[in-house]
Amino acid sequence: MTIFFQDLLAHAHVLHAVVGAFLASISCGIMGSYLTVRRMTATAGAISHFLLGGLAIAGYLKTVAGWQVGPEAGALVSAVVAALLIWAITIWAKQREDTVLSVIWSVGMAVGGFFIFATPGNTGSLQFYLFGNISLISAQGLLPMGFLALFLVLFFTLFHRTILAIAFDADYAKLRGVRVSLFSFFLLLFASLTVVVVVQLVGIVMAIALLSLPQAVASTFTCRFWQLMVASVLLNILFTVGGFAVSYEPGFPPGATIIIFAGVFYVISLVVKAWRKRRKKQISA
Amino acid sequence: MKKASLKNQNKNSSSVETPSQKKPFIEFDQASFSYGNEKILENITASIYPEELVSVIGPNGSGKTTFLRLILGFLQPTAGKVAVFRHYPELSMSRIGYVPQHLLYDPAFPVTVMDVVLMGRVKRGLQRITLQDRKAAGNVLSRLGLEEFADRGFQDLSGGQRQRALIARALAGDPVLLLLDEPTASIDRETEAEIYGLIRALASTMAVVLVSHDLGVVPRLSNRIMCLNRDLAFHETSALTGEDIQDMYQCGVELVHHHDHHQERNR
Repeated sequence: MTIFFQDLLAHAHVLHAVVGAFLASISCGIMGSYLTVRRMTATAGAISHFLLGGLAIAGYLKTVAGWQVGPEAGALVSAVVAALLIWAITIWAKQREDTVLSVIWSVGMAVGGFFIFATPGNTGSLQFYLFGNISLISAQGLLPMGFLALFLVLFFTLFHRTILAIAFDADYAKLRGVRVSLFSFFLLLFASLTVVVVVQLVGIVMAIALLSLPQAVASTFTCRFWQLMVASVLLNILFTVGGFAVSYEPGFPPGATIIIFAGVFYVISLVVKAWRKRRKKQISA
Repeated sequence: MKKASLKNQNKNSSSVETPSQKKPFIEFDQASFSYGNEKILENITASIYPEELVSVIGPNGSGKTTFLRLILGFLQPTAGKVAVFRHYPELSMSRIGYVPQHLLYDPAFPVTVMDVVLMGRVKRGLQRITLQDRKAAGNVLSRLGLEEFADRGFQDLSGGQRQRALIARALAGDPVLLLLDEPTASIDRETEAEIYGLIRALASTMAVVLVSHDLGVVPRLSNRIMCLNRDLAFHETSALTGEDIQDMYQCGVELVHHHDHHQERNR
C-alpha cells in the first residue's frame, strides 16, 4: 500500500486512475440508484455488452478501412444506439422486455466478436474491452468523465422530484402531466453514457457490478432516494479507489480486484442485514 | 352520511338518466377497446357526474381496469369516444386522483410516506417541493390518520396503511374525480370497512369511481352501479332502488356464470 501512495504522487497515470475512479463513482452511484429503483439494472448489462460491437467496429474501421476513429467514438455511438433501441422497443413494440434485452446483449457481443476476428492484430484488445484497465485512463479521458459526473449531479438535483415520481409510479407521474417517456429516454441515454465511463474502469463484463452492488449495499441502511444515491457514490469511491490501491502493489488485475472488493462488501451487508433482522425479532419476541 | 342519503332521495325523485343537474365529468360514447383481436370492452356508453359514487363491478378480466385506464388517458379507445371534463375546460387531467390496484414499485423502494403523498402534487417541468405542497400533504395525512407515519418508510407499512397512503397521494392533488381500482384487494376485513367509510365520505365532495368485484359492500355504498359483463355490454342502473338491487344480483349471478365460462374457454 505504501508504494501505491508514493506512486500516486510520483506518477501521473496513477493519479489519473484515482481521479477517474472518483469521477466514475459519482456517475455510477447516481445512475445505478435510478436503475436499481426502476429495476432496470439488466438494461445496464445489455448496454455494456452491446458496446463491444461499437468498440470492435471502430477498431475494424481504423485498422482495415483507415478511418480516423478511436474506440471512444465506437463506444459512444453504440451507447446512443443501444439507448434508442431499448427505448423504442419498450415503447412501441409489445415485446417482453427481458427478451429484448437478451437480444441486444448477445447480438452486440456477437457483432463485437465478429469484427475483432476480422481485424488483424486486434485480438489483444478483446481482453481490454472485456475487463477494462483503470491505469490506462488518460488526462484527456478525465475531462468527459468529469463533465458527465457534474452534469448528472446537476440534473438529478434539479429534477429530483420528477425523477423520483417516475421511478416510483410512472403512470401516476404521467397523470400529473410529467413527460414520462421523454424523461425515460434521457435517463436511459445518461445510463448508456455512464456505462461507457465504467467500461474503461472494469470492462464490459463487470460494468453492471458498479451500477448495482453499491446500491444493494446502500439500500440496507438508507430509506430515501437521495440517501441511496449519496451512499452509493461513497461506496463506489471506496470500491474503485480501494480496489485499485489493493491491486496496485502485487500487480493484481485492477478491474477484477475492484469487483471482488465490492462483492465482499455485498456479502457482508447481507450478513449484517440478516443479523439485524434476527435481533429485531428477538427484541420484539 | 345523512347528507349523502338525502342526496340519494333527491336523485331518485329527479330524472333517472341524470342523477345530478350538473353536466357529466366523464362520457363514454360507444367506446370500445381491444388488444389485437381480443375485445376487452365493447360499445360502452355511460356518463359519470360530479359528486356521485359510481361503482364498476365485474369478474376478473371483465375490463374494469381498462375502463379506468381509458378515463385516465393511458389508453385510447379503439372505437368510439371517451371524453373527460369536456364541459369543464377549467379542469385539467391533473384534477384526477388515482389509486392503482397493483403498484409495480420496487418492494424496497427508498421513500417515506410523506414522499409518496408529495408525489400526488408533482407537475410538469422544473419544480421544487414548496411549503404549500408540504402543507397540503400534511393535511391529507392527518385527515387519513397517517400523520404519525409521515417520516416512516413506505415499505414498512402494513397493507391497509399502504392503501391509505396511496389514497392520500390521490387526494393530495386536490382532485374533483377520484378513481380507485380494487382498493380493498389486499387488506383485512376491519381495514376494509374503514376504507369504504372513507370513500363514502369523500364522495360528498368529489366524483368517485370505484372498481371492485366485491358484490357485498360496494353496491350498498354507491349511488350507481355499472356492471361490466363478458360480452362487455354495459348495464347502468339509476340510484339504488329495490329493483336495482335485484338487477344487480342478477348481474352477480350472471357474472359468476360467465366467470366459469371464461375458465372453461381458457382450458
